[in-house]
Amino acid sequence: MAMVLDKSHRWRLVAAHIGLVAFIALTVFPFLMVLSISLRPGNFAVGSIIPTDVTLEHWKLALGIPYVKPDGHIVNPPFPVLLWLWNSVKVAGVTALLVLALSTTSAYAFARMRFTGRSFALNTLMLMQMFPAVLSLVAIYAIFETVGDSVPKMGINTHAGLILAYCGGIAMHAWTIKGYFETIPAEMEEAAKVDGASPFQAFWHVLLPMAVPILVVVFLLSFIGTMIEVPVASVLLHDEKNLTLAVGSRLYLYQQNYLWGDFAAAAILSGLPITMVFILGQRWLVSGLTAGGVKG
Amino acid sequence: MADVVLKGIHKSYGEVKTLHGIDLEIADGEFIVFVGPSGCGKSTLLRSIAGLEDISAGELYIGGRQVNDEPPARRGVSMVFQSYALYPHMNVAENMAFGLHLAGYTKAQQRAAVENAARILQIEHLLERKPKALSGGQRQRVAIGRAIVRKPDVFLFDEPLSNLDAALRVQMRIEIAKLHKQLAATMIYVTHDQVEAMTLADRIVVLNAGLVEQVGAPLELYHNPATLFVAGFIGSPKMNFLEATVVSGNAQSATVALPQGTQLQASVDASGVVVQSKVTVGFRAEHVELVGAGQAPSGNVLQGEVMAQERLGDLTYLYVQVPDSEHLMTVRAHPSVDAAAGSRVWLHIPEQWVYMFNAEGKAFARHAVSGEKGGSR
Repeated sequence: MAMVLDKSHRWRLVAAHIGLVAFIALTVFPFLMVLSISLRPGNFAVGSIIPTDVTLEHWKLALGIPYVKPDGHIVNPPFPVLLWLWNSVKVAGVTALLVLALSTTSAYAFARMRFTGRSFALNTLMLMQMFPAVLSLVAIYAIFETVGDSVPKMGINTHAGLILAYCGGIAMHAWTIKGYFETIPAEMEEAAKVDGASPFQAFWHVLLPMAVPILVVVFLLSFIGTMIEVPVASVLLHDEKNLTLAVGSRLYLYQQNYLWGDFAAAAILSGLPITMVFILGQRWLVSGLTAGGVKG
Repeated sequence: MADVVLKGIHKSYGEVKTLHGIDLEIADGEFIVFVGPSGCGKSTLLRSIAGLEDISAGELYIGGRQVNDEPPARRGVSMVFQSYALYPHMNVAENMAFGLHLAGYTKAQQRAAVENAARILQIEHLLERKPKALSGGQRQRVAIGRAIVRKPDVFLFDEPLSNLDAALRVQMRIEIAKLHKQLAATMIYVTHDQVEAMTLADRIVVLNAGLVEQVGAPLELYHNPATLFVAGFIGSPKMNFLEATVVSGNAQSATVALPQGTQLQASVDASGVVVQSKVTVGFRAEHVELVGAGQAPSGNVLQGEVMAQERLGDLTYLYVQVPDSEHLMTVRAHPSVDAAAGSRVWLHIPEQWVYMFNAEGKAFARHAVSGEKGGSR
């Protein structure tokens, strides 16, 4: 650094680093704890963070591989963890795509079109979304039981039903995207319209490509939100083979026997798709996509 | 190529009316400039022609076809926006070809059209670049290129040069004029800059508060403004105005008295003027003659005190306080004139260069001065 600095700057720098390290520890420690539990023999929640004995028994079970105990007793995987993981990824992926499609189109309408009841609809959507999802569980159950009577493939205990339920929660995302759309000059779409684009073509060829960063953010938020969602999924999904990982892994924890080790392995496993999607999406999270379009 | 006809165009946003009945006929191949102060409705009018705003009442014809309810793409117009509005995620070639792409042209046709336009605008070396890697002037060219590629009947320009610096603006102005000759297309150009209007237009449309003040060739507006507004708007520096009272008037000339009693003659057709009625007289900076203190003023002389002077090398501007007005009179003088602030000057305004406007701002017809260009072109 070429800048001339005050002597007290050094101490402030040290203090800031201590603060940051403490904050990072706060974030990372629970993860390390879970990792440690998953590698520890037996199912104990407490213990040293660096395991004295490392065992892969929990991981083998999580990955569906039978585990042979030292006494020759074979332990079969109690739950289809990988199937749950696939269920989660499937539901989260489809939900995130549908949420993106619904929220971008509604955000476009709210940002660019003038119609009566526009601000009322916006505010109402937002307010409704503020009620905790738990409050609506009973309603969701009742709704999907009725839906299942006429469309069995979308009723209780189906992934399609669960996805449909998740698609109800787009108000926040619509607001976020609307805010971003409003920063894009309307002249862009006007230019497209003069160039011969229909409103949909202007939206598709001009507005959406310029909004990619926010679309990635919304996709990620929606994907992560669905991966970790428990209340709605636990009400709608019943069969063991249909469960998502977030719901299924709780089966390790029953009253008489808390299988902390197996639970920890499954929990880390559920974080993998999130990490992968995030890394993939990161390259699109560049700012300044709109730079150069207007003025100079 | 097409003519554009506007009949009684009205535009209102709810209760707010912005255009109050615009009638205008624009000939095929004509370069028309809409000029006026901000908020006069010139951009709204242009956007109505483009189809970006709907028309509240009236009829709009492009090439003889009524297009009130046609979407922008089917009006045969293309538009250059003030902010350029280039698509930032596409490179220059894609930007220019976008309209053709939507219209279903083949790749080869698109490339040929883009290369042709790029050659005209000398931006062939920029085709692969993204807009953010271009300078302001280059972006402006691309925006014009995007308009050319579609071979529209009518070009619409919405203050296209206002984001450029002064030197580049002059250069682009000349290029747009060249382009108009080359393409021989109808062009409608909106600006608040009367210099752009004077230099580019075949005919200027002066708009004020949603109404057409005057339509005419640049020099016609300059020499024979129909209203006080046009007189004040066209010409730089601005015309000097003085409040006055009519003393006498006939078909040949009028005599008016300024507040302090000084009398001025104006050679205008003042037949039927009411004596003692309030009028405004005006004169341009370049028509004033400075007379020395010793020379006997032969009438039409104002005495004043120089408040400031600007010596620009090729000419000198004097800002003179006269007792008959609270505003400073601008006077263009010979570059050798050096009148320090505080010095007294006598301004002779030849009566053929005195303009006169009635209380409603309507001009009295001036008697043409020989050698004065203007009128019909």
